[in-house]
Amino acid sequence: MSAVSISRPVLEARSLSRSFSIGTSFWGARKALRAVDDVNLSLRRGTVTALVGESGSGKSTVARLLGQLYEPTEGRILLEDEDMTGIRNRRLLLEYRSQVQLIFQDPFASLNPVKSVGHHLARPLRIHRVVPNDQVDARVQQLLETVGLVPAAAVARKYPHELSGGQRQRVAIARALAVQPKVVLADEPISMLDVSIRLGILNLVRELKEREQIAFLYITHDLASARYVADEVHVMYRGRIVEHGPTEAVLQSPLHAYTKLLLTAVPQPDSGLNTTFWQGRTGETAALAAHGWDPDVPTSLVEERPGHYVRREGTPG
Amino acid sequence: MSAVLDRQRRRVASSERAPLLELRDLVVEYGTERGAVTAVNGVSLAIRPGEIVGLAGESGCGKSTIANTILQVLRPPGRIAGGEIVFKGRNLVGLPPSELRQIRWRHIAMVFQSAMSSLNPVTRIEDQFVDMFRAHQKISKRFATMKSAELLEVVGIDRDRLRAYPHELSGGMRQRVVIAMAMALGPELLLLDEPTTALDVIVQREILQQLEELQREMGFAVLFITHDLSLLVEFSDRIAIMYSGDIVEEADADELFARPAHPYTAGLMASFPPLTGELTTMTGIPGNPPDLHDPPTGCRFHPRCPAARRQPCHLEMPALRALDSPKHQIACHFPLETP
Repeated sequence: MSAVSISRPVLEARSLSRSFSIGTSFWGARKALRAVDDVNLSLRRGTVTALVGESGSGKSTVARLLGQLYEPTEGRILLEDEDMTGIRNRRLLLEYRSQVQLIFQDPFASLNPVKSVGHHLARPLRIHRVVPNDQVDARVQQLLETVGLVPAAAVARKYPHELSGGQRQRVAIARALAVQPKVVLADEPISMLDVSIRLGILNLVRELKEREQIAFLYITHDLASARYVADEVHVMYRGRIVEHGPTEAVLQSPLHAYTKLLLTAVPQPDSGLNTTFWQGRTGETAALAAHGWDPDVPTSLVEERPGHYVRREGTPG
Repeated sequence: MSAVLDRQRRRVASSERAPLLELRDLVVEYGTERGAVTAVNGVSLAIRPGEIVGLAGESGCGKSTIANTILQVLRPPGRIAGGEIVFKGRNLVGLPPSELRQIRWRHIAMVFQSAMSSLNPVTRIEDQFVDMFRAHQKISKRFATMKSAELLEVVGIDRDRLRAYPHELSGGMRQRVVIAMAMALGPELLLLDEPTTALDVIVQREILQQLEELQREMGFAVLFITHDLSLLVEFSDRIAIMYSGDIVEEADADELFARPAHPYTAGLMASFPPLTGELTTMTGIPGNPPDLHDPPTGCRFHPRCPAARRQPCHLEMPALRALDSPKHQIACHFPLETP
């Protein structure tokens, strides 16, 4: 395999935008909220790309757009260079989903309480005809072993309520892997888990990236976990990417005011509460301005260091 | 920096005073189909006036049960099987409901993890405040509304939002509304059970900072319950670590951070990937918390403990004892050496 094909993205978002209607004005004109605004993103084989930002920044909407749960208002989605934007055809959609899988935040809500673990894994195997029917059980066990749920035969017979949160999330990951996807979109996969078991899931992501060469999108508000698993970080604020680049570059020498702000919000046991931090939503713009940034001025992404982009004032010249 | 100084000042001031709340050998059981399980196994803990005490541990270790037990809002099949809850010299266990109502909210208030969904969705914020005031105090509706507006501003929400319904506010704002309500009657003790777990880091930071400012102004004591030890180290004066129904280590926050002596505490500390410095593969704590129906013999942590030995860890439950000062308590046969 040549170096070129390794670096070619598996899944790409090009100028992706999505607006949501938030009611109508008095005259009946539609009011819209631009949840995702001109986002470009490339997911590559064997790479974890982190998308970080606070609630409401649009990061989950990006995952849903890429998972074809929402249709974009503008922009395109390319799967291995093929335009997949807005596919409706059931066969095509099935094919897309066998390549691109989603994992959600809540492992309690994403599993059916009256179905066994084995059922959850066998279903995608049958729907997508991954293996012949007589090999389904063997494959289910293999999947459970892949995500570290052993003894697999016993786990397959269990029901979701018999598993801990971490174990359920492992089942959700195994289910995503069942169809042998090229891309896994993980939306806050650890934020509802106990701190002590989060590392187990993060280590699993690292391992699967290496072993299965999966392209991961890891969505989180936890910068420390992003640093732990991701090769690249994209920082999102108000629907836009404001900074992206190699993980260490972005997190160790952030260029954008918002990235700096996010970094100061992470608990740091040795320093006590950082009381210079900003106050309230209304103080947010002021705080960003103090960091030298006004969110309402036109901006564009500029490559300020090799591979490290930041949103600056002004339009591309 | 100033926060650290505040913390020290607060600690010196509070360490002299008699406890506001004291749990003495508290035992809480849940009756289940497979027999009773002990969720809290003889816990003793003191909270002094104006002190922020953190209680940390994994899901199911009994930390939320403790909060519910203090306010005695424990639901059946949970029941207090032994011990005392002494608040200002008075044992709350067995107190008649009418007297408990006097204490709840007015003296001890609580914010739950899911507090933001505990607001009534079809009632305006204003009416929820007024109802709460009028349930506890004989004040006019007008005066209650005025006080509610002030409280909202204290937690950084515009007073116009009194007219809002809960769904019109973000999760972080709803959580702040609940915190404002918890402080409305000027309680001496605030129980916070995972108050920021469902929120993102930025909102969490805002709320904690606001809480710390309010604490400084109003001087209430806090019992802060969470599984996120990194938050506690920053926010509390003293921290107790709970495992499977027992407190296994208790110390001042900076002491615990600098030299955790229990392997479980050390494991919790090592569960946070660092934001700066060298990045190595981390393992966290292997295994899962024990099944309370069938807890391990001896030290309950031994199946997951890297330092456990057959004798005595597998056989004898270690008692909580002073490590080298009475302020650092530990229940471990082989405490970790200070590096």
